[in-house]
Order: sequence, then structure tokens, then C-alpha cells
Amino acid sequence: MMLEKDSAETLRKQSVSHYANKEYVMSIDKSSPSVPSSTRRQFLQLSGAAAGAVFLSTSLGGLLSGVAQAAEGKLVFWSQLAGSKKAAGDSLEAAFRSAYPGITLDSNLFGDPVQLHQKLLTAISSNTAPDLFVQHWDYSLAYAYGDKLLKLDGAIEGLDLVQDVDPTLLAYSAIGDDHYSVPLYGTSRGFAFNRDYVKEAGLDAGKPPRNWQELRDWAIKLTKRNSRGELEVAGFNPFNNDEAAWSLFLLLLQGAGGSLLSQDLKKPTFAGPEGVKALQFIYDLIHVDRVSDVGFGVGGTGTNHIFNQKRAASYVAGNYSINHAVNAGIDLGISGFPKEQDGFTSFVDPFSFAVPASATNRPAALTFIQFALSLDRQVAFALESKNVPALKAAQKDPRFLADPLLAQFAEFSTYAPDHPAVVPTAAEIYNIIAQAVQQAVHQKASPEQALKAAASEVEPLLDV
Amino acid sequence: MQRGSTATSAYLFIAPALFILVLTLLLPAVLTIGMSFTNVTFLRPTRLVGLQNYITLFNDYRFHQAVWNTIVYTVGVTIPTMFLGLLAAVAVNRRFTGRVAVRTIFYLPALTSLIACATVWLYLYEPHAGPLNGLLSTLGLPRQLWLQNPNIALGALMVVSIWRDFGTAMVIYLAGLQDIPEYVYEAARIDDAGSLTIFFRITIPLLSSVTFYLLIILIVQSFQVFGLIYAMTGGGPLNATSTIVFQMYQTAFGFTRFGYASAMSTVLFFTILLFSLIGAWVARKLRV
Repeated sequence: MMLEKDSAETLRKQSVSHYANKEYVMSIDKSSPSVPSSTRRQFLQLSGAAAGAVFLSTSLGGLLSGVAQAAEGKLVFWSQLAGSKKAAGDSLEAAFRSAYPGITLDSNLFGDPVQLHQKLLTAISSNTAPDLFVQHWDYSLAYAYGDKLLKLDGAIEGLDLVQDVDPTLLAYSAIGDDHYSVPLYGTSRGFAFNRDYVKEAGLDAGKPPRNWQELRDWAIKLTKRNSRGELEVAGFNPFNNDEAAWSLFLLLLQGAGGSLLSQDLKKPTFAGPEGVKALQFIYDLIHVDRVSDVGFGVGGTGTNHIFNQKRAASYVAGNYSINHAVNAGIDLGISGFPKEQDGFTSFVDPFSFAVPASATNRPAALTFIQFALSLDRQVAFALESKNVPALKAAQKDPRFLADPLLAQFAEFSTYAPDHPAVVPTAAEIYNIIAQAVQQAVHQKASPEQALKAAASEVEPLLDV
Repeated sequence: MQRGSTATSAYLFIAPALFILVLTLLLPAVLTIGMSFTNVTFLRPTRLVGLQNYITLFNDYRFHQAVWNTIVYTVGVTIPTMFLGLLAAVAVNRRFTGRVAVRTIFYLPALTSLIACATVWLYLYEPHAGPLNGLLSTLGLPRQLWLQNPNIALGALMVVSIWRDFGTAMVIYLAGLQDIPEYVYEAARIDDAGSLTIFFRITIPLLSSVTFYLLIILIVQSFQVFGLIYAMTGGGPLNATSTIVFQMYQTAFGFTRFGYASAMSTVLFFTILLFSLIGAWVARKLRV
């Protein structure tokens, strides 16, 4: 990596407290020229000149926008802290503005990671990248592989990444031993169920499934069909979109003892016997046990997710699902996602800060990361957004642990594998796996055929 | 001298528009064709890969599926849209009470935001609470997973597209109908021609220029479909609604493979160009 133009030490020195209590004030001349009385010709000349000036200033403004962004004391920050994270993001920014009045925070919000990715790609290639952004880990990793991000080890004052940050989340920021992003928060996955339905079915909500057979038994008992055989409530909803399809497959794959990729991340391993067993399990749930129908619940997200519509009794949930379920009036129960034999598995999905190599206000960017990774801010952000904090200390903080559902999701993150499949082409790989899962479910290919075909597509993507 | 001066003025007048067109259309098109021979990602050093992207493309079963979906969508949308547009135009060209209101109602979907239309249709197609399945249940018929079943999802999208676009076709046909001189119809009636004969022997032939215009416009528009798919199905289920443009978007912005997406874009560009040239040639041959 060729990024260390400034040493970490220099960056630290440039950083932060320097800005506190220092105001950068832009003065605006509000006086405007009076319009003289004129002849028609003079008026036209004046109008032409004004139009020309506007055109020139607009063009130059566009060309020089990168320079404008680099104004001293201004921190340009892009994020996808929208939806359920909006309030937490707003609070974080407000607190930062209050703590560092010398830094003018110019915050831009994007609806989702793909939207932010589009904007970042354009900005990075045109040298108008922000000083700081929060993005889903795989995109940041792609930028890092392209030498577009600053290495952050030792760059943030008072923060030892390896010591202080949850290693499961931090693993997604690394290329070798170097870290190019810092997680703000993460999500983890567990098994969510509707307690009311569980009680109705005569099951014990205090003893959720610990293995695949129990999961299967639960799902069968929780399924409701009407007199015509039409599905009213799915006992277990396998997936509602591509992301959920590969999530379920990944959990089952791990639960069967398999992994997505080889240890050196150079070979796909998901098409092995464990993968086939995992996909066969999904197939059997739908076609043999009939706990759901093919396509049932596909498309609905958030409050429209069939679990929140009370048309599914259980599914794979993330911590981000808590608010939707609670708002839908569901008595939510959660537990770890069961392994094939006994115990639980999970995976995490971090969203991380990164500083572009071309950032013009690195000190302010690092200051923001330091601030957001402080104990109080981590706890506040996690509680407000219902996410797992990145800071180890925050995960153990009594204020955080007081939220029982959230604390459970933090515990689930400990079930995630130590060596996740951290590759910059993850988005495409997940898409291929999701298609393979659906091909098997839609009976277009056997689980083995679908996974083999997917593995052959994935292999070239690992040559990074 | 006068002629040269006029030409100069003409060039000066079109220069701003030409400059913008070159900058926003021609230059990107040329750059895209160039990028299709590279592995550009905007993140790593770019290198030339020759025809590799095209070779991959022609062996990519997902792209084949996207091409097939695009063709089915284009045929399935273009013909019914024109047919319904013509019927509606003929109907609202007659004098009857509420004619303006009916015209407005037919044209309203075209004026409504695509996302708003998509949201309404998502509700209509909703498998459990949606009115369509409610109707099927009332009739004792099985509920359908309109957008979740790969066998019917593309058809369901085509219905939305036809609903949205036939109003535009109607307006264009209406303009064509009003351009047909009344004396032609009077002459036909004097010769005892019936309504159907008049429609097929006079109205349809005299609308041929409008029909060709609409055909080309709808084909090009259908080839470029993206918004509806993005908003309603995301290309799923099982890529059943993934079209060329949607796959281009996903490849470029989802997977950061701009070189490969550019190859897709180039293929689409020349396909549309081919259709446009064929359309223009046919129109010239038929003197429409």
C-alpha cells in the first residue's frame, strides 16, 4: 500500500483539539449594487454581462467545488446513516458540532450504501472526495484495495484499533495487518420469533431451537394454513430478498461446519458437503416441511416484512429489525441462530468510517472518528440506532446492557467466525450465492448443481 | 455572401445545443465504447483487455437472460401499448359527454411519478392484502405471487408499463387522427363504406407515419427500461425481471465493473441504433 504520505504520528499531531474553541467565520458582504436608470441598450448590455457572469461563476464553481470543499476548518462528511440510523446520526453530528465549534461539519446523507458508493466513485475519480465517510465494509475495502484510503492504524489519538475495537467487526477493515476503515457500528444476526405465536403453538419461548432439527420442529408447529391449504403464517420465513437468501445460507453453512472461502480467501469452499447440506435444509423446509411457500414474503422490508405483518412466525433477524418488530406490536423473542448439531452461529456486518487518501482535512476527519468512537458516543449511537457498538468497552457498558434485546445481539456477534470472508468483491459473490439459493428453491437446479455453478463463477472474483 | 452569412448565423444558433449534446451524449458514448475494451473500475489502474469483456458477455448466461427479458418486455409492451392507445384515441376522438375527463384520466398515469405508480401497483399486487388477490379469492381462485413468481413477474411489470404508457400513445394517435381531413371520410361514406372498412382502409393507413414514430419511440423506451424494475422487483425473482439496463447498473455501480458494464452498454447502444435505422428505412420505403 502506498498511502502513507503522512506518517500516522504526523497526522495525530495535526489532529483535533487544535480545532476546539477556534471559530472560522465567513464574512458575507450583503450590500448589493443599485440598478442605475438606463437606456434599453444599456439594460441589455447589463443583462448580458450579468448572465455571462452567472454562467462563468456557475461553471467555475462547479470546477472548483473540490477546492471549496477543502476550505480550512470544514469537514465534509458523507454517510448512509439514514432510516433507523437517522436520529442516531443526527445526534452524533449535533454532539460533534457542540464539542468542536471550530470545525464546520458539512454532512451529506445518502439513502443506502449503493447510492453512497455511486457518489463516492464519482468523487474519488474526480478528486472531489469528502474528508470522511461511513460506508458498508465491502465498498470501503474495494476503495482500500485501489489505494484510495488512508491507513488508520495509529492515526487516531487515544484509540488503539486492535485493543479497543471489537475484533470481529475490525476484521472487515483489514488488508493483511493494516486497517483502512474503523467500524462505527455493526449488525449481527440471530433467530427472531413471535412469542405470541410460539405460545399459541404450545412451544416454550424460553427454550428456542438449539439445532436444525429443533428449528424444523418449531417451524412446522408454527405454520398456519387455511382450509384451502393456502399459507396464512409461515412457520419460518426463509428469505425476503437476495441479502436474506445468502444470509440464511451463510448461517446454515457455518452451522454445518463450513465456510464461504478458504482460509487464504483464494478458493470458494461453500459448494462442499456442508454447503449442499445447508441448501438442502432450506429446500426441505419449503418443499418437504412446507413451513413456507416459494416466493412467500419476497419483497417486503421494514414494516412491510412479513414477520412485522404477522404473516411469519420466525426468521433470521438482525439488530436493525428490533424497532420495526416492536413498532408493529410484536412480542419479539430472539436467540442465537442454531447450528446443525448444538449451539449458535452468527455473522456481523460492520459499517465503517474511512478517510479518502485525497481528503484535504484529514485532521478534522480523524477528530470525528475519535469522537464517534468515544465510550459515551458509542453507547448513545448504539442505543438510539439499535446497533452493536464497535468499541469493546461500549458493548460491556451497563447503559448498553440495559437494553436486553440489543445486548443479546451483541452477544450473537461473538458467535461469528474469527476469519470471515473479507474480500472486496463480496457484493458480487453474495449476489451469486443468493441466486444459487433461489435456483435450488425454485427447483431450477439441485442444491449441488446450483452451488457448483456458483462456485465456478465466484472463483475468478477472488483473484484480487 | 448573404447565403454564407445565413449559414454562419444558423451554425451559431445551433452551436450551444450542439456543444451540450456533444458534451453530454456523444463524448460519453465514445468514452463508453472505449471503456468497454478495458477493465476500468475507477479504483485501480486501468488496463486494456481487448475483446475480453465482449467474449465474457456472450458467454454470460445472466446477460443472455437479460437480453431475452428485454426482448420479451419490449414486444410485450410496445404492441399492446400501441393497440390500446389507438383504440383509446379512436374512442375519445368522438364527441360525447365527459370526453375531456376521459382523455385526462387515460393520460394521467403518464404524468404521475414513476415511483408513485410503482408504489400503487406494489399494493395492488400485494399477495395477501392486495385487491387483485382479494378479487381472485372472492372468485374462489388461487392467490398469485404476482411479483414473487419468476414465471409471471415480468408479465406483471409489463401490465404496469402498458397502463402507464398507453395514454401517451393515445395522445399521439389523437393528434394523428385530427390531422386526417374530414373530406376523406365523407368521400368514403358517399361510396357506402362501412365503419370497419373506413377504419382499416382509411384511418389505419393514414396513421402509418404516427404508428412508425410510436413504434420506434416505444421500442427504444422499452429497451431502456430501468426505473420500474428498480422500484418494483430489483431484477428478481431469479433475474426474471432483470433487463439489460438494470444489469448494466448492477454491474457498474453494485459490483464496480465499469469495463464490463460498458460492453453491455455498447451492445445495447448498437442494438437500439439498429432498430432506429431499420425503422427509418422502413418508413422511407413506405413513404410514411
